[in-house]
Amino acid sequence: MILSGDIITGCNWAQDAGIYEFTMGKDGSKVKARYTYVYVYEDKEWLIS
Amino acid sequence: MPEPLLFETTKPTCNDITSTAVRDLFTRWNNALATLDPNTVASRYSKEAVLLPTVSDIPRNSKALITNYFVEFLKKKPQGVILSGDIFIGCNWAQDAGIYEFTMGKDGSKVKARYTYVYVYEDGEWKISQHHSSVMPEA
Repeated sequence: MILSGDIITGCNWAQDAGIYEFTMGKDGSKVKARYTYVYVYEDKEWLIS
Repeated sequence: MPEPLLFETTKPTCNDITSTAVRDLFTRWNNALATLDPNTVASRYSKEAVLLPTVSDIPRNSKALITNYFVEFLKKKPQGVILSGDIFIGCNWAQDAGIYEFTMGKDGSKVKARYTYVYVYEDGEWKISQHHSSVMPEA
């Protein structure tokens, strides 16, 4: 789950950076982490670059 | 009289950049560190840049927060070297992600970290739009 983040969009690309938290279904534990995604429009689909 | 434009085209002009030039942008950032001036380092970042720095929990999403981070970080007199990385180039943006190592001039200590830079072409200059730096998870 994304807790906070900042998005910037460009031409056929976008970035999203912030903080997210994972909950592990196996044992219910939680892990907070910093994330960065860069997405590109490739073959008519948005994919993580 | 010129014909009026029926449809305005919004396709941007892509400014070409080579992989070597992308890597040189890191050198420019590193040279900015060498000035030990937080404002000089902050000037390498774009207007809407986000910095997820090595040794601070807060996402730095404003020029003030970015500058503020470097006030502390530059006290260590850091200099970085890219050990390995992968470059991807798009239209008016590029990314460089890999592993770098800092040597702190203050005490000679070394820190290896994973980095991601996203560069954008803004107002005629390549600037850092996003910079993520984190200490190796298995260290």
